[in-house]
Amino acid sequence: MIEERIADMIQADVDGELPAASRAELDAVLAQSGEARRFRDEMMRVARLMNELPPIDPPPGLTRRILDRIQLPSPEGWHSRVAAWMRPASYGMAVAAGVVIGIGVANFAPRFDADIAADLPGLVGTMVDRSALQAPNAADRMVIDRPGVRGEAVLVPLGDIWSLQFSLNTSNPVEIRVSADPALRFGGLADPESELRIVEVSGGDVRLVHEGRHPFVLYLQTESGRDVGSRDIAVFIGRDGETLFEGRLQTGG
Amino acid sequence: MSNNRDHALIKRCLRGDRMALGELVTSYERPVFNVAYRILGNPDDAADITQIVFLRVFERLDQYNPKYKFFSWIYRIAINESINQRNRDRHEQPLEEERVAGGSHPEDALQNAQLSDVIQDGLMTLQEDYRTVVVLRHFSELSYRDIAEVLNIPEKTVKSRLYSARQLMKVQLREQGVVQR
Repeated sequence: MIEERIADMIQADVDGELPAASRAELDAVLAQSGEARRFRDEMMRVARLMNELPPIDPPPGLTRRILDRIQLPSPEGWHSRVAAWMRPASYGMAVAAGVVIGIGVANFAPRFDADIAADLPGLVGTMVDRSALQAPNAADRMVIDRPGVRGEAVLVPLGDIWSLQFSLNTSNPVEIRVSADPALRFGGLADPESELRIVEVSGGDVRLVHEGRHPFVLYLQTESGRDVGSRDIAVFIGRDGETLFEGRLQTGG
Repeated sequence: MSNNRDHALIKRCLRGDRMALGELVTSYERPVFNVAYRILGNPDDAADITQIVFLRVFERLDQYNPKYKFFSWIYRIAINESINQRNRDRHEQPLEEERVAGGSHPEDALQNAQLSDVIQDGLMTLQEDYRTVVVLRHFSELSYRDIAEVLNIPEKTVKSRLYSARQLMKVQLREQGVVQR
């Protein structure tokens, strides 16, 4: 029969938790006792069998299901329910915008098929990467180059819609405020990475939180057939109450 | 998984950063799923419990005390939820345990699956407090101290439960011919 103290030491050794001070004592016991060696070997075998079993892979799609169900608190206590109900509408707007761009830019023509809605994130990414920075028909654009936030915002007319395309890189979360003239109202958001948090929408004013590096597009809508003339769109970027950037875009005349 | 990294991610989550949320979920999804699977013996239940665990964690994230390790907290929730689920199942119907093969080497999959079944059968015969320490030690690879923190019991109790659990597992594995007499 193995002494309880020795059995404890053997178990600690099997688990890699034997204190260095006990090593010599255990080695001496093992050298002298066949029973202790057998006990150690059996315990080692049982432990090894369990240790060597590979972990089980969770079912595919579990991460997505988890992420879809979790609501995080939004900064300043604002709830992001607005974003939840706004998103389906914004996808429709994004598809509409994609259609207009698709007609105007030959590169998009092959992608212009029945699967366009399913491929929306890719489309939006393309819209920002290719058209935002090179858009020949941009009404206005601004370069943002401040510590902690760099990138560009481009305003592109798409029929009755104005597409405000952001391509930003921020090191920490920033608040972005877009205030459009009352003739324009917020019509939707295309956010291929689903990382943005809209915290407030009112008419043509939108507040959202952005972090990292990914493109997104805000759509501003005019009443059908109405000429909005030259209208201002103010863009403010800040963090923790501090203004990092302020600028204005114009729809033109 | 470093505790400092976890704390930084939690702070970002509390600011509404979904990228940080994604990192936390992908870091802990697999360990939580494996704990739940080894306690429940059923992959579908384990997937449900994994979802519930993350919902609980993020519902209470603002109550998380950074004095404690994040993984201890999430493991404790995983164990409690798994045991609750097990108790509910016990009242409702006899368990029909589904098995899944683990592992990344296809050639070893069959052998692993058979061994995994035998070990899982052995685990399911253990009482819950024994099964829990075995799962945390062998499938989550936690130290005695970490197991004690997760279960909120003295380290001495961890060792004695682990000792008894292994003796019982040895008998089970012998009966299945996996360990020789």
